[in-house]
Amino acid sequence: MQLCRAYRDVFLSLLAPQLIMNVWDEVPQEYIAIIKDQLGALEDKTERHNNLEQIVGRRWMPKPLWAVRNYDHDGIEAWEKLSGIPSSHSRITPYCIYIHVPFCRARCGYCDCYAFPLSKNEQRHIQQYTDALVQEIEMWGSQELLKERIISTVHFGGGTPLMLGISNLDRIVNALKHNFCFSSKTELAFETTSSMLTEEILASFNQLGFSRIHIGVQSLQEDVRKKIGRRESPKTVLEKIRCAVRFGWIVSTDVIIGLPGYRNPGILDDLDSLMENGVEGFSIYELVQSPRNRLFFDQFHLTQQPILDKFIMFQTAFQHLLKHGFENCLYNHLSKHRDKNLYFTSPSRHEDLLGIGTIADGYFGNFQYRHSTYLAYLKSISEKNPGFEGGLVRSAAEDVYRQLEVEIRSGKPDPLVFVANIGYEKSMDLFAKWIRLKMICVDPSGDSCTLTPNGAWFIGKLLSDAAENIDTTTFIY
Amino acid sequence: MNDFENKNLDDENEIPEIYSLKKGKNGWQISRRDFLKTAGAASALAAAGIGNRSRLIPVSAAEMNDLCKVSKAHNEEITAIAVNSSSTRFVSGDESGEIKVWTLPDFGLENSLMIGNGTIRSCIFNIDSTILYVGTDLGSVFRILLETMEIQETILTDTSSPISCMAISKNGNMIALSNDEGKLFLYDNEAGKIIAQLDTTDHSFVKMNFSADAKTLYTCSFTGNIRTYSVPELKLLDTSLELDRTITAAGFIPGDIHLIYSLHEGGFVFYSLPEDREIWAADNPGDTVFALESSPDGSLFITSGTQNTLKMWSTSNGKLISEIFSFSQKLPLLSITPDGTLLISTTGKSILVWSLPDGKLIQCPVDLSIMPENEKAITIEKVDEVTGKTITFTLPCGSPLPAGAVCVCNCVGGSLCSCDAYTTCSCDSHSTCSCVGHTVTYSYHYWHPN
Repeated sequence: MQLCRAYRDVFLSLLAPQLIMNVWDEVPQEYIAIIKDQLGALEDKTERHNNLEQIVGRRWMPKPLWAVRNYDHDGIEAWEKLSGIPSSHSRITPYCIYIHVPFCRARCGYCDCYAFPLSKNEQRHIQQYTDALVQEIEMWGSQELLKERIISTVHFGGGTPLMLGISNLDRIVNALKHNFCFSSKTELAFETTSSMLTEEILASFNQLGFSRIHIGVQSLQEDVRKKIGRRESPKTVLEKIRCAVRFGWIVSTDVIIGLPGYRNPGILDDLDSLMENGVEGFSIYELVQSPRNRLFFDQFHLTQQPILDKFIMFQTAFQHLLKHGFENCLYNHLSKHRDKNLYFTSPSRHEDLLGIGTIADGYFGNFQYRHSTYLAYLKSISEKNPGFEGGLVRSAAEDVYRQLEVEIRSGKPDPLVFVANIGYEKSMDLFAKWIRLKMICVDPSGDSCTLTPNGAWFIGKLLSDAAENIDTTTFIY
Repeated sequence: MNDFENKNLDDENEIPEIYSLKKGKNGWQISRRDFLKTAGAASALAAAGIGNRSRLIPVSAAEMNDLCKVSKAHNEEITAIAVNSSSTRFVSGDESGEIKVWTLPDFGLENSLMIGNGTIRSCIFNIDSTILYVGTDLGSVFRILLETMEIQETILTDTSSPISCMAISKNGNMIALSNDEGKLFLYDNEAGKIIAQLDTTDHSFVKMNFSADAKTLYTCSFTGNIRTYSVPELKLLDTSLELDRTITAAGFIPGDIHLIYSLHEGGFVFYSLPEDREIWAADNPGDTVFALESSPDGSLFITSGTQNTLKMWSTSNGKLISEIFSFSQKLPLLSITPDGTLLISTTGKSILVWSLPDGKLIQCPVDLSIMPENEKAITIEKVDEVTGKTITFTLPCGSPLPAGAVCVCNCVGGSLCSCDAYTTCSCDSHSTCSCVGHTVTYSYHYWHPN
C-alpha cells in the first residue's frame, strides 16, 4: 500500500506541470493589462535572452545587522549601555513594544517563524516564560523616563501568543500598564491562528484593551488548508472573523503566495470572502524557503514552482485589493478604514522599539539589541541582563541605510530623505530607475510616490539599490 | 512638509541635469514635487534609450581586486586591443607576441595564435571581420584569416621600428600603418599590397583617421603635430597644428573632422580640423592620459592616465562626467565597441569590460587554458539590477567570491556545485565546493527586526 502511494506521488509529481493551467488564464481580464505593464517594465530590451522567469526571481532580503557583523557588546554590556539611552530621548516621542511568544499548538510546515510546540511540561514552560517576560518588563520599567514616553502600540507576535492563556496575558498586560505610559490611543494587538480564537477570548481581550488582531488565515481553500495543516473549515474561520468584527476588533490577515496548490481564482475568492466579512488589512507575502520550512518545500516540490507564476499571483492579489479601495500602509500591507498597522509602520514615525522576549530585537536611537533564543533567554535573564544576546551601535553609514530602509519599507519613500542622506545625484538616479522599472509611481498629487506591486515584490532589490549608494567601505549589507 | 523640505543642500556645486533644484536666497532648495517630476522625466528618457545623465559607477576597488585581478586573459602583459565593426568580436595581443580573439557579448575565447614576432603593438579588423591585421614590435604587419587563424600574408617585414598605429577607411579599402620612426604606409586591401609610403618628420603617431570619403588621412603625432595627407598619394596637404608639446593620446570624433587630444602635462583640447582652431580646452590636472577613446556617437570620451583612473568626459564641453573606476595598476588600453555599449580596457594580463554609458563592470574574460593544470573555473553570476542584467564572471579556482552570488563551480573533477542567491559559493582547488552562509532565515514575512 505504501509502495503504491509512493508510486502515485511520483506519478503525480511528474504529471503536475502538465496539469497546471497557464497562470494567465487564471487572471481576471481586468487585471491582465496592468500586470503585463508591470512585468513589461522589468524587461530589458537590450538583453538577448530576456528570461522573465529569471528576472522576477532575482531578489533577496538584506540580512539584519546582527547577522552580517558581530555585536559590539555582549548581553550584560548592552544592558549597561542601554541604561540611560531611552531617557535621553524626548519625553514626548512615542515608542512601541513588541513581545515575542515562541509557543504554538503545532508546528506548521510552511512557517519560518521562531516558534515551537510544547508537548511535555507545557504549563511549566508557559509559567517560566511568563515570569521571565514580567521580569524583563519590570527591568525596563526601572528606566524612569521610559515610563513617561507614550506607547503607540503593543504587539504580541509569535508563535501564538494565546498559548500563554488569558490569565498570563492579563498578567503581562498589567505589568506593561504598571511600568509604562499608556494613552487612550495606545493600540494593543496580537497575532493568532483562527483555531485558538474563541468568543470568550475576544471578549476578554477587549476588556484588557486589545483592539487589533492579525489572524493567520493563510487560505480559505479546503485543499490548501489541508496541505498546510489547518484544521478549521473556511466557514468556521469566517464566522470567527465576523465575530471579531462584531466585537469591534480591527482584523487583518495574511495572503501567502506560493502555498501548495494556492492559485487563482481561489486567492481572489478568499480575498473577496475576507473583505465581505470585515477584514480591514491584508499582508501579501511570498512563501520563502528557509531552513525551518525546507522539508515542506521538498514535500510539495515547491522549489520547482515557476517564480513567474507566483509573481503574477502576487500582482493579481495586489491589484484586486487596490481595486477595492485598499491602500499601501507598508510595502506589502494594504489596508483601509481603521487598520493602521501601527507596529509595522512604527519606523516610519521614527519611533523606538522596545522588544521583549526571546529573539526579540529592539532599538533606541542607533543602539540595537537582540534577545537570545529561548533556553538561553530563560537562563540569562537576571538583574544584569534582560536576556540579551548582544547589542550594537549603528555606524554613521548603517544609520544612513536604516533611514533609507525605513523609507522604502514604508511603501511611500520620501525622496527628500534620500537627497538628505545620499545627495541629489544618486537619489535622482535611484528614483528615475525605480520609476522606469515601475517599482514606484508618482501619486496623482505629484508630491509623493508609492511602491507599486513591482516594488513590493522587489523590496529586497530596492534596499540593495539604496545600500549600493552609501559611500563607505565599511558598510556591509 | 518634513524636516527635509527646503533644506539647503550641502553641495552647492551639484548641478542637476534637469533642474529640480532651485537656487534660493539660502542656497539650493528642492521640493518633492519638482524632484519626482524630474525623476519621471529622467526615467522616460532612459526608457527611450536617451541617457540624459551619466552615473557614478558603484564598483568598488575591493570588488574589482577580488574578482578581476585573478582573471587572466593572457600569460603576458596585454599590449594591444581592437574591436570589430559589428561589435561581435575583439582581439587582444600581448608582449609575447600572442593574439587572442574573443566573442561578444558572451566574452568567450574564440581563438588564439602565437605570431612570435615580438610584442604585439597594434591590431585592426577589416570591415567584415574576416581578416585581422596585426603590427608587431619588430616592425612587421601580418594579415590573418580569422576563420582559420592562419597568417595569410606578411604585409610589411621588419621595418625596424614598432608598428604602433593603424587605421582603416570606412569602406575598408585602405589601411594606414605607421611605425615609431614616423614612417607612413598605405595598404590597398583590394589590391593586397602597399601602394604608398612616406617618411615623415613625426616620430610616432598616437592616432590616424581617414576622412569619410577615404580621400584624406589625418594623423596626430606624439610630437604634437596634426597633419592631413592625400590618399592614395600620401602627399602632405596641410599641417593644422605644430605644438612644441607632447600629445599623449588622441581620439577622432566619428562622422566629423574633429579631434580631441591630450597633453603630457594633463588636460585636453577639442580641435576642429576644417576650421584649424581650438574649440575648447579642459583641465585634467596631474593625470597624463595615455589612452583616449571617443564614443561612436561622439557625445563622450573616456580616458585613462597616470592616475590609473577611467574617466568619462563630455565632448560638448570637456567637463568630467564621472570617474568610472580607479585601480592600483595602469589601465593602458581602451577600446569602445562601435555599437557604443561596451568599453574594453586592460590592466596587466587582464581584460576588463564595462557597459556603457553607465560604466558598470560587467566582465573580466579569462582564458582557462592558462590556469594551472587540474584547476578549472568558477562561473559566478551576480545580479546587477532588477532589470535582469546579470554580471557573469568566470574566475580561476580559489578566487574570492562575492556574497550572494550564484555560482557554478567545477574546480574539482566530477564535482559541480550550484548555490542559490542567498548563499555564498565556497570553492577551491583542494576541496569540493559548498554553499555556505544561510538561506534566508527571515522572510518577507516580518518587518526587520521582528
